[in-house]
Amino acid sequence: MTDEARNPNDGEFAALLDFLNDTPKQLANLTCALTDSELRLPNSSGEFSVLENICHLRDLELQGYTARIRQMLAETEPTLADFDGARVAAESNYNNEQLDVALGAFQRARRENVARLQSLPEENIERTGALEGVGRITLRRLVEMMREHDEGHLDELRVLSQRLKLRGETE
Amino acid sequence: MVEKDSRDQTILVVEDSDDTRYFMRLALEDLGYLIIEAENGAQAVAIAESERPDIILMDLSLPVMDGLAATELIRASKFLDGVPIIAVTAHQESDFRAEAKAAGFDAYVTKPVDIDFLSELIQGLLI
Repeated sequence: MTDEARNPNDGEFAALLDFLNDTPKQLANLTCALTDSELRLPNSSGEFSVLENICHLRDLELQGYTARIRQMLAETEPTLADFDGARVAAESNYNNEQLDVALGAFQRARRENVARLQSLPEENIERTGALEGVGRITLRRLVEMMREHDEGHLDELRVLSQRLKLRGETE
Repeated sequence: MVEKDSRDQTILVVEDSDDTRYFMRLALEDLGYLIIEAENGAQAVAIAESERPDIILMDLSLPVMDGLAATELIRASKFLDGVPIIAVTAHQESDFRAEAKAAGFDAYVTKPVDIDFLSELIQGLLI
């Protein structure tokens, strides 16, 4: 029996991890051409600036996903804390941070999480925990939620960087 | 009476918590529904009017405009007449239930959401 026949979802989970692994590179590509002031420019719709997006992703990775993954692997049915990104951002001063430092921290944390998930025996992907406000989730579902979150911020940053580029061209 | 296939149905999930919204999207997509999203009440009203979903899951504690106010506006829209709205809430008190009913909700579920229960509720409202 081939590996694929043993678990038809293996390929899907591997693809999820590939996506997560690629996010830091995509963020770097989207932000590398922006000036310091563009990175910090408040979004006209009241959403995060580019730099605030990156800092938010870093803090969620470190304080949310890393902790949740560790707990789900180490404990039986752990309670997984909510991460209130809006509150953390309001209490921080993300626009005073440096892009390369924030992006580097996100990249390291993400790389470690992906490596940890890639090394898991198949049965551990279905380990569970109770996510505050959400309910019982498997590790696989948590990884799917990470991808959804990445996609949302990448889409937002694509729109933002395009808007900044157009703004730069008209000035 | 013929029950519609979930693949034909669009659900508007109104929820400001990323985790909860992603969880509900993924769980309901697994069941075959098409999902559209809003993060606050004002956005929900605008998206409901432009997309006319088959059913709406409305969190109550939302920024910009809360779920009760958004539901009252949706209920006032002739274009959205008859669209079922389910309140999604952490509240369990009976006075809240009366308030939700008065605002125009068809049903409510409490957090954390039991997806099996929610699925049965949705199917019942979509028949």
